[in-house]
Amino acid sequence: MNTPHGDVVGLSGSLDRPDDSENAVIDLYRMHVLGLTRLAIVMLGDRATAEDVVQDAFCGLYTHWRRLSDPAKALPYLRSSVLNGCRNHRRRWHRAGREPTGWENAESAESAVLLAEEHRQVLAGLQVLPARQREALVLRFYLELAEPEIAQTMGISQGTVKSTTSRALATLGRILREET
Amino acid sequence: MSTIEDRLRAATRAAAQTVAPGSTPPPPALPARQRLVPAARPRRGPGWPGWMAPLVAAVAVTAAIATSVVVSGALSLGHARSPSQAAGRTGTVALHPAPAAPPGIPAYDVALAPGPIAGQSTRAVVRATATGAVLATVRPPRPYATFTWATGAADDRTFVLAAQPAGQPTASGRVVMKFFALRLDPAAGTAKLTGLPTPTVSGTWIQGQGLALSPDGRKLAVAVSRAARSVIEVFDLAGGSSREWKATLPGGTVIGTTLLGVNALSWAADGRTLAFDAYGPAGVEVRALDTAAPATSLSTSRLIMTFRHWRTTGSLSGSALITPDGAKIIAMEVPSPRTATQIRVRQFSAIDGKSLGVLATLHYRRGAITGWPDVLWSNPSGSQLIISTTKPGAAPSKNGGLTPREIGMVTGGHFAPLPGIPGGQEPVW
Repeated sequence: MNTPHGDVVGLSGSLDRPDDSENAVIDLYRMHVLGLTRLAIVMLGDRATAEDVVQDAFCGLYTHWRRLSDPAKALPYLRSSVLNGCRNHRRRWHRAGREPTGWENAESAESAVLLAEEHRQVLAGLQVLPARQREALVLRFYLELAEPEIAQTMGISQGTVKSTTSRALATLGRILREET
Repeated sequence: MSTIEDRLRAATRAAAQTVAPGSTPPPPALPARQRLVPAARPRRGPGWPGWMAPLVAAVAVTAAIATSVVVSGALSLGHARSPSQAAGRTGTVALHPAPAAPPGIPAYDVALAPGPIAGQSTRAVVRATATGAVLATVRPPRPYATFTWATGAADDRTFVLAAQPAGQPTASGRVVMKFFALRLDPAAGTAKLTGLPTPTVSGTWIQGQGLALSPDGRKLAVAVSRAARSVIEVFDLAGGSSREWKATLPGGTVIGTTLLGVNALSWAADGRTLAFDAYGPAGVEVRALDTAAPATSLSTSRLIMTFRHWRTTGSLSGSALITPDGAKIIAMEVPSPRTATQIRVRQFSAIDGKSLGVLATLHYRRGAITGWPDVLWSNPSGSQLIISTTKPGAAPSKNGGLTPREIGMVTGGHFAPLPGIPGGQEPVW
């Protein structure tokens, strides 16, 4: 097939290689590592585990890169992976008899300064919720995702997102009222 | 007293801030990749299936007449009126001659080639639609580094590309987009890239949801999500003015039926009616926005139809499109994604949403349908379409992955594959 390439306007350089997935994943890492680590730490309250989860998510993305029909779906894929990873770590903690940190005892001085008592209470309440409720609240109120995006990230229907969010808010409200 | 929602926002953001920019570890050592599915779908030959020829020929005369009505008269994309408005630089590249195409098929399309960063392309290619041959390649002028979207006018010679500077979005989520016109001149053998005099679209955590150039090339519609609120902006490229319509509530209207999909907007040839699809309270809605009316809320748009069942069967649904004559809505319907063995291409009245019949039925093996079918292009009357869908007849992926996709033309009830661009975005016309 005749595929002549015209000249190039603006930036010069070699043509992109279609299989340059390693570079693509590294670039994605640089772009999204901060946001995803922040998502993981909100879910877990543990910095080291959050970093592990995010690194695992990127390794998984690289391994399954060819299964992505559209590179634009990489970020939703990573978000889902991070949520799954957080869920798995919490299960391991539960089996090992370890409770999530719950932010009651912030690990670093920096965290202690940044987290007011009010925030700690809310985050502790969040950790008590069932996994799906916690994820729905974090995606809705931390990432500010719309219902369809939450549904896609969590792999549930929009109706379930709505009902789960509603139940989670009610439960969290009850927990916080009991604490005060 | 702040609400639970406010307290949650404040607490989660405070928790997130404990991870400071620059404090994250370096990229991990990537593992050896398992081979799961073929890298790309088998490339089809450049030929047009023989059985399509009589069908295409049968509608060619009608289509040619109708198309000539729509594109008659010169297109009038705006020109920079002052140096400050012309942020982009101009550049002209050689455009190789397009091979002869079967009647009714657009001669040219523009596709964003896969780039090193997901969703961003460092080059756009002008292709011959019928054969997939690359006729010209353009890259964004500095300081812009990547193209993210493209759209085309009805003349098949005028396109608009959205470009972003390198490193976007930034860690703070800041995004800036600039629009460029790409004009093809087959007689002169050139493709010219020019910065449009539209202001840049910018914001924090904005996410593209749609881009559409009106058939006459005079208006550019852009849909973005800004702070979880959908916004449609329309730029008058000739006059330089712009207007904006916002969703009433954050998250109340999400434009586009596919995540990050950019096919959610389509214009009627009157240059006034802009159709868009969106998640609404009752399902996937197709709505019409009168861009000449004085309202500024998306809630004033006219609801044409709602696909209620798509809501209950998950997100497997396709973008709809208004035909240039403004009479019909074309949509791809998947009755039940998990068990479906068919995707139907259907037409509906753009007045009241009533079904006007099935244009084509694509057949699949059970479990093979994955991804979102999209209507990408229509001739003025909707009798010829270009769609993107799961490859008809393909076997389901053994690993639970995605079945290969394919673009193709729907005419006279039949689907004929067209050359795609492996790993790239869907082409535009």
